[in-house]
Amino acid sequence: MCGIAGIISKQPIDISSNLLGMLGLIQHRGPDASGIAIFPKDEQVTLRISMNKEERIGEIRDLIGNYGKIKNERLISAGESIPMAEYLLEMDDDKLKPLHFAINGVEGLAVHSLGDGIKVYKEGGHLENLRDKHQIEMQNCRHGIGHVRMATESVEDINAAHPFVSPFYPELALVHNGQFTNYFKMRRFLESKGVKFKTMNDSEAASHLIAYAMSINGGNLEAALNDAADQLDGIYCIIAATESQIGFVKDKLGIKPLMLVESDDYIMLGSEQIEFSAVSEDLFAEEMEPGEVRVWNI
Amino acid sequence: MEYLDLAKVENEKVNVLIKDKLKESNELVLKNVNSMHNICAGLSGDCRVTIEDSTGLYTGSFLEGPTLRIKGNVGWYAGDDMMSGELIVEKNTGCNIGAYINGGTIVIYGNTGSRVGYGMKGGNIIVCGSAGRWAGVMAMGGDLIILGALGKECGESMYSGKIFTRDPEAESKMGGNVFYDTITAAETEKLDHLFSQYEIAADGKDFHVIRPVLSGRHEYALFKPDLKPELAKKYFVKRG
Amino acid sequence: MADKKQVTIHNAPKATWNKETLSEIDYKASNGKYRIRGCGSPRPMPKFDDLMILPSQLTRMPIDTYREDCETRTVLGARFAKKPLIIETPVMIAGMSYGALSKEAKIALAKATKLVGTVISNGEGGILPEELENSYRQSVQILASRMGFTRRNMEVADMLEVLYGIGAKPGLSGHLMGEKISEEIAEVRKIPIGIDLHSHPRAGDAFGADDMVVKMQQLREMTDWETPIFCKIAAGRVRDDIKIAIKLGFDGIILDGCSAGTGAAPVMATDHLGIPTMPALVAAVRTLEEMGVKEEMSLIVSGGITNGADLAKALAIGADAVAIGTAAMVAMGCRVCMNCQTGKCAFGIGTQDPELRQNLDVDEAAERVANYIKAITAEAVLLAKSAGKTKLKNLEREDLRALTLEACAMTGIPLVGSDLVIGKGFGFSADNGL
Repeated sequence: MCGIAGIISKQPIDISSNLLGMLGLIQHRGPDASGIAIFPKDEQVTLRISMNKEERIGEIRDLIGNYGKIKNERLISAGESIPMAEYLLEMDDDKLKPLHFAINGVEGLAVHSLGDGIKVYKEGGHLENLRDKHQIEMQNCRHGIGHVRMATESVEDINAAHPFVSPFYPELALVHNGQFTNYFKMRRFLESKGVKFKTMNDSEAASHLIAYAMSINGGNLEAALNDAADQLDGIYCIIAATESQIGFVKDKLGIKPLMLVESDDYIMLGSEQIEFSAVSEDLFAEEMEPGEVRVWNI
Repeated sequence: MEYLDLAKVENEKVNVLIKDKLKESNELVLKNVNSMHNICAGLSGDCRVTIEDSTGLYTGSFLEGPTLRIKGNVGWYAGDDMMSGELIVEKNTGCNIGAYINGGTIVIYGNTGSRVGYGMKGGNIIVCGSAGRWAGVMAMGGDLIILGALGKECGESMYSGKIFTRDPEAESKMGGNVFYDTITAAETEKLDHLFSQYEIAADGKDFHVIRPVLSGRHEYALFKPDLKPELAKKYFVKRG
Repeated sequence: MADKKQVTIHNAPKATWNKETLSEIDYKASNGKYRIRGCGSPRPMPKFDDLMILPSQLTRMPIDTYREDCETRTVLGARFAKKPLIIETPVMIAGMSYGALSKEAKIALAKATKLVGTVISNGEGGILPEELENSYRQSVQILASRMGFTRRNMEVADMLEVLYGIGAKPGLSGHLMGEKISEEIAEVRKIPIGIDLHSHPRAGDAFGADDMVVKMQQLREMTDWETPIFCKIAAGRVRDDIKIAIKLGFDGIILDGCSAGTGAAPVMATDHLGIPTMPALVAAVRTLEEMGVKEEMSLIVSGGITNGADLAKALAIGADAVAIGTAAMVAMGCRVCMNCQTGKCAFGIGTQDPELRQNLDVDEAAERVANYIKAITAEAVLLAKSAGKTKLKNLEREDLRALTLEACAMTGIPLVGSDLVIGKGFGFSADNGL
């Protein structure tokens, strides 16, 4: 249904071009959308936000104004999908979560990423769309995750592409391959905790669930992934990352593939062996065990 | 001997090119396959194809006759529904290798993932390294030979066929409806013959066999209560 | 005196003036009172059969019916109780009193709970010591009549049910005929033998919700906040009743639909009071969500549960468990002849007659009830796995579709094969984002 990728580099490198290379080799797994999340540490906060109409830009500026200062604004025109904007902001750390929640609460606006150490780029259709429309500059960091999407039960729109973020824990991004069978129950539970859903994509629920768990367990990704393994029903592989951690969970039935390979310079995760050849020589990737959870600290 | 460089070839065009080249010679080497899918799927006839690097999914599906050797790694589902011939993997493989195989031989010199020989119906699968979980699950025939460590639930729900193992902890790793048995002389001979044919350093007599239980197969319980009657409140009431 | 003339009547089928109606009128004309009948209403009611469950095919994967597990363990009453009740299957045995049932029947039901790991409710009228001894977990009812209820009962309860009414005869004062009060029953209920009992319609220690709030605090103190306290109500003004139950601080609700059974009830009551189980359940779930307590409060539903499909659909709509009454009796041998009120149950189940009671073999009956509960739990598991679930509690309302327009309108669940929702959709459906 989808293809996922994750990479950890021992040295900071241009992670995005590696991720795009890996995803390019599994494009066949998902022609409907693609996306990556990278974690370069900046001084300023970057906000990547989508809007249903260009006219909403004034409203967005006003909203941001309540939480911080806009240092730079770059509009990304709609093209085939919906308009987006990328902002550089000056704001306090403790205002990040409230701003994320504030935007999340508004109909027609969706945060793609918000933070000084997280950037999500996602777009509908093939990888070329992603590369062409979003100027993903070379930014050095040590880890990232990526995804190509084959839509199963919800529509293909840019907000429904992965990676997903959540206001419960703004620094978390995740990608997912599989299908949850208790999405509606999870959604009702999470909505009762105050988050608004922007799509009908079950992966969005996973991002809120894991982020919520991290918000109440003090940021422990491993514990949150173990929680998710218990609460999410269905078949799935999830790769989740924050600025300082990256990890995965594979469901107990072990039906969706998740492979891991370690070389001298990289640790890589992915759905198919072929992905890894984008980055390093032919190394054997091990299939992860059903029910396995593993997290690395960056 | 013919050569084919697949570096710039689209996945969908690969098998047509392979079949064309095989008209010129029945020995073919493929270069730069670079983990593409369905390589040699449906290939038949008396020929030998060697792949220098790694392949993706469904390598040699429905293979009928050829000897296919891959020097690199192989993705999921390789050799599925194979009819006859040989599929030889020098390194490691993904999961569900040899699913529903009818005949022929698959040899994996490295390790394999979970569910190897899923529903296998005939033929031989030899794994020199370790196998993942659910090896030989729901097998209906054939021989699965695993030299390395088994994963859990080995042979779950086998109906027919055999799983040969020399894992000292094999008995604790078996699935349902199978039992651990000693190997017969005839089976030992067959194994030794295969080992020598494929230059595998192993001895048939070190192996045991996991076979399906043919009667009194356990009933699958859909409801599995974990009863703790002693925790009822009535036992904790303080008297007086 | 004129001779009585023989008159022949041709019996033509009639809608209103049919045989049943004529027979009822004759009874009232002869006796000047209303008829009483056992076993609840025979009227056709909307049932869970009017809903279908969606299986997994391409987008989702089914769970292996045999080789992969599906969890059935159920936790009840975790809202405030420090020791919520944990049972191995979401099927419990509903409250049926010793008095309505024979001693043998009660013991058999209790023994069955030990075989499957569930809870039995004592029903009205004290706890039969043998029932308490043999049950896996014991629920104790606190009824208006308080017959046989003492502080000791509360101490041994794994769960308490404050009873406001039952589906079969809600809002009525109870009636136990003198003939059915044997020495033993009189002993357990602490009442005199031979007198017809007409019990209280309302609890005398809490007239109204305002007093009950305070009483509730007291009950919590008496039980050390450990025991789950449920509120059992008949399905009537579901939304309003549940809102109050939430404010009163109950851990959960047992909702009894109008098709529920009872030992003896006036025909008019069983046939014309209350609303059916399925729409009542939907209303209950909507109310709990509206009040933001769905995740905390447990919801048990009863009244006409017959098989694992009923169980699965009830769970999908939002129940945490179901209670079976009539079905458990049928498993023991009852044929629903609906004459429980005579006390002459030929199967030894609904009688106190020592000879008739011999007809019930306790251990065989216990095994049959346990088998039945195992079988319907397995049925629900089968359906849940087909829908892709590894836990029974993961069944959700979006897994259901309504077969008829009535069921669609009653529940807000979309009509099969379409997006049609009548009224407010229940869950995510075409009218709210899907």
